[in-house]
Amino acid sequence: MTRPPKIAEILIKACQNDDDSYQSLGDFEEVFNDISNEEGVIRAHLWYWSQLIKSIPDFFETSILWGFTMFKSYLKIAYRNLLKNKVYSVINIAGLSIGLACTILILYYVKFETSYDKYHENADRTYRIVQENWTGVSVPLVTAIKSDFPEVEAAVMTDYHSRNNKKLFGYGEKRFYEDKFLLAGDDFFRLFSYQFLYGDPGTALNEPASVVLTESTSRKYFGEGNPVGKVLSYENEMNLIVTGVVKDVQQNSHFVFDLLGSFNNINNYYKWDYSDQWGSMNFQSYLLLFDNSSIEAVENRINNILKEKRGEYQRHHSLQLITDIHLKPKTRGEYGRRGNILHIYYYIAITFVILLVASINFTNLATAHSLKRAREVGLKKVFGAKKYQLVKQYMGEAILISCISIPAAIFMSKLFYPYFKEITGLPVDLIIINNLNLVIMLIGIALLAGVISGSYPGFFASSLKPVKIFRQRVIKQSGGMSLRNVLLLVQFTISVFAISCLLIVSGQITYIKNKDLGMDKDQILIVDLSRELSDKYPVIKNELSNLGIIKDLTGISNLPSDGGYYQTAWWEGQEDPDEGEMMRWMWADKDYFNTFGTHLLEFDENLINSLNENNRGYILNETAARYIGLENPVGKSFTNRHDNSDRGKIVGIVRDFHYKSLHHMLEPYYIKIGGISFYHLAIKLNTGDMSRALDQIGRVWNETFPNRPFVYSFFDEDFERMYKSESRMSKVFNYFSFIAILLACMGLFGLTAFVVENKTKEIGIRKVLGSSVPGIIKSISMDFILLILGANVLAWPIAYYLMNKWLVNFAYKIDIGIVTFISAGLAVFILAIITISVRTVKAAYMNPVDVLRYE
Amino acid sequence: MILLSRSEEIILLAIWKLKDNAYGVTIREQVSNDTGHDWTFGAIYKPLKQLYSKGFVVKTMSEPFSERGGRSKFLYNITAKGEKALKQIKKINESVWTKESRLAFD
Repeated sequence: MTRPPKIAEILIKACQNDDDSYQSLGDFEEVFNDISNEEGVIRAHLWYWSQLIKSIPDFFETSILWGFTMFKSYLKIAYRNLLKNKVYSVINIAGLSIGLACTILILYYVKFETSYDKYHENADRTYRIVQENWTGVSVPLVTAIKSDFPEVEAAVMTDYHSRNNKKLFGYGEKRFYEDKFLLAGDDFFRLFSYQFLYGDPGTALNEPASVVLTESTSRKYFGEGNPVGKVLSYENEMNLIVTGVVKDVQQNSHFVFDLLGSFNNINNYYKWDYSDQWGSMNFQSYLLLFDNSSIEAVENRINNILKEKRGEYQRHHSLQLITDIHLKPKTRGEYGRRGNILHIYYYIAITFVILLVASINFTNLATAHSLKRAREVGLKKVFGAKKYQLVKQYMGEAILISCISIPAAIFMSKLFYPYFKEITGLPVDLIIINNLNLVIMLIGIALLAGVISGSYPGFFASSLKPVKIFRQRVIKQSGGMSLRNVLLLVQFTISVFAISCLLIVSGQITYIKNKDLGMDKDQILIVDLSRELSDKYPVIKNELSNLGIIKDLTGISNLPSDGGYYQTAWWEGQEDPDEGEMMRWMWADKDYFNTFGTHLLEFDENLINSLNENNRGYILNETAARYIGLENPVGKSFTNRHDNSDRGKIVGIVRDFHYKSLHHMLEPYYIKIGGISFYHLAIKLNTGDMSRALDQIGRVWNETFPNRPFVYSFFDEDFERMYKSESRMSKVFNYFSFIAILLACMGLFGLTAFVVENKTKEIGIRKVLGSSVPGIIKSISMDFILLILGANVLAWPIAYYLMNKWLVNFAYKIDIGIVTFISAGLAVFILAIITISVRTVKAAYMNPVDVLRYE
Repeated sequence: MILLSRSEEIILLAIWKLKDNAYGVTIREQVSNDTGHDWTFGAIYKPLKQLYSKGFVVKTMSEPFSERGGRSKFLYNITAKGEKALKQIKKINESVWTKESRLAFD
């Protein structure tokens, strides 16, 4: 026996209730069987479907008609209520709009931050080679990887050629300085996906003199049309042939470019042969691995090659997935802006809290007002309204309000985006309408907020008994009050919590900025030097010192803020090579201490002056001196080579300085003097005229090292950058805490207004019986005040716990004192009192005659 | 005065005629035969529901049938109130027609 079509059965079930569908399914199937016996299965199926379709209007007529009628009625009631209670409506709509606007901004930020580099087709198997805290590698290393590694499908080197100075490009009369000129290897377009408008991605970068432009750059030089084959001049010294045009590069990438030259031409760009320069680790390089290749194996082989070619002291190399680069950046050498994964979580938490506060406002006000609307509910119930219908009505009203809030929120987010952009450093403009995902998410959140905040008042109102409603003139606020108090408590808790966090975070940021680092970071220029150039260090030091604008100058292997190397060191009394201790260290010149203003506590002048290439000396920091525990350490022997080849003497003790960001604890550290394997020059200037100084130093540089780039940064800026994401976070945090507290105050205001309105007669009678104004204010505010006290009790431990967790990131931090919490509590208290007083004071001063006259 | 819509009246009549075998399928056949055009199930369920809630018919469940996919029939039986209503309608119809005999359609 054949069965009727399953889908049709499901449809019938969907549009009727259980009883009705039981009957119709039976009837339908019986006729279906009759027809299939007499006229065949196909006819039966046809009949079944046609019968179903014909029946649909009858199935639905009632529910659609009444549904529509009731919807119209609900809408009308909702609209009238909005107009009738203006304060209530404005607070609700404004609150929710502000909440949603914050959500839009933060979601947009989060979405952008997490979208970095994901648009590349091969993003899941494209890796960057990184050293411990540096992002460049050398040309011969990548050449070796390219030819010898079976796991590597393609390898590409890049150089951000215009990083420090803009390059001049020209076509005919049109000449522009370009600051986004990148050099890239010929497989670049296999690793990274860019949409080609003209030219062939496979061969575009093969020729040394080729250049690929972005669409807008091409338009700038060549106008509309295909520029492939045209010649662009570079710095008046080279001609580049345009081989392709790509669509403008998206901003959510860890590198962006306007022009792309060929890395095959690197030696010509720098006029230097890099092909065997293992020490010139200047080039960010990317590997495209085959599916399922072992990353660890590739890393090991890279490190082995380096050990073989370069000996020990090599920084550990590893691979980093390109989609991880943005949120887990390395400290130095990144091309673009950096993100921080932790802060993404903080931002999401902030959004959640703000929406929570807005929803609580809504729930509280709607519940309060449902008491006012009790008669409407009673009448509806008497006429047979079901409970679920009333819940639906209330929820519908909540959703209506959240729908009104959406356009308002979009408008507000547009309005405030420029400020948000400035604080967070987002490089893109806000586009909402074209951003379908964002719009859908926004509508989803708005609806969810509506449903959540509308459900309690709905259930509360629908549970009121009609008899009670009509018998009592005033509904006692039992039940509704307790949840309202809980929600208010939550809001006050959030406010106290937010202010405490705000005080602690900004306190910590100020502490970091003002902490004595044990060294001077102002007016110091850091110039990148590769190890090959180290040989000429004495020469350039001499030349630069003659300029007269330089106070002190030292060569260093590491910045005195990046942590240095990490190796075993042995000191006097340790004969066994198994002894010794891992310590951080760096190479420096003996002028290091003057340059960075680090103070030598003890030193032996004669020993220091005797140091040279063959006679190394060590200067320990206080912690290290304490750690090794020798009496009179100066003059004792010390080494960090297990073959004792670099054994020298401890020549001094330096006051502790922060060789790493304040996230880290000070540990034993020493500075090795005598060799000249330097990666940077640190120059302390004694002039305020930076641009002239840079010009002069640059000229000396170019004379000493012709055709090698003069790459520099300012030490204080490098230093600030270590805490940049924290200071950004703190700013964002300030603004959004302010918004959360503002919303909470708005809610409180609405609620007091309601309470006062309900109590006007009570106040009148109290006044007639001789109550004083402060007494009345007290009687209204007492509940709220108790809640604030309770909120403090709740918020303090939470804030203490979470802020301690955050402070764990810093080795040097402020103590969280009780004063912080007391001031946060006090601030909320004062804010709440002010908010409440706006209405209560007015109520307390009114003339009792006005309210009691009609009784 | 008993309020019955035209389709309710026709269906109630069909149930009365079908005696103990009035359920969805047979009612639909009867009604289609009586009126001479095909009724959909949707069109009879709604009046049936009304008749039931107004108390003109009662509903009982039969044994399950395999040709109904193992489902029972909802058998409808006319109540005394239903029969009274039918008679009343008939009387009203007749009296209206006799009084207006000059409007005979011939």
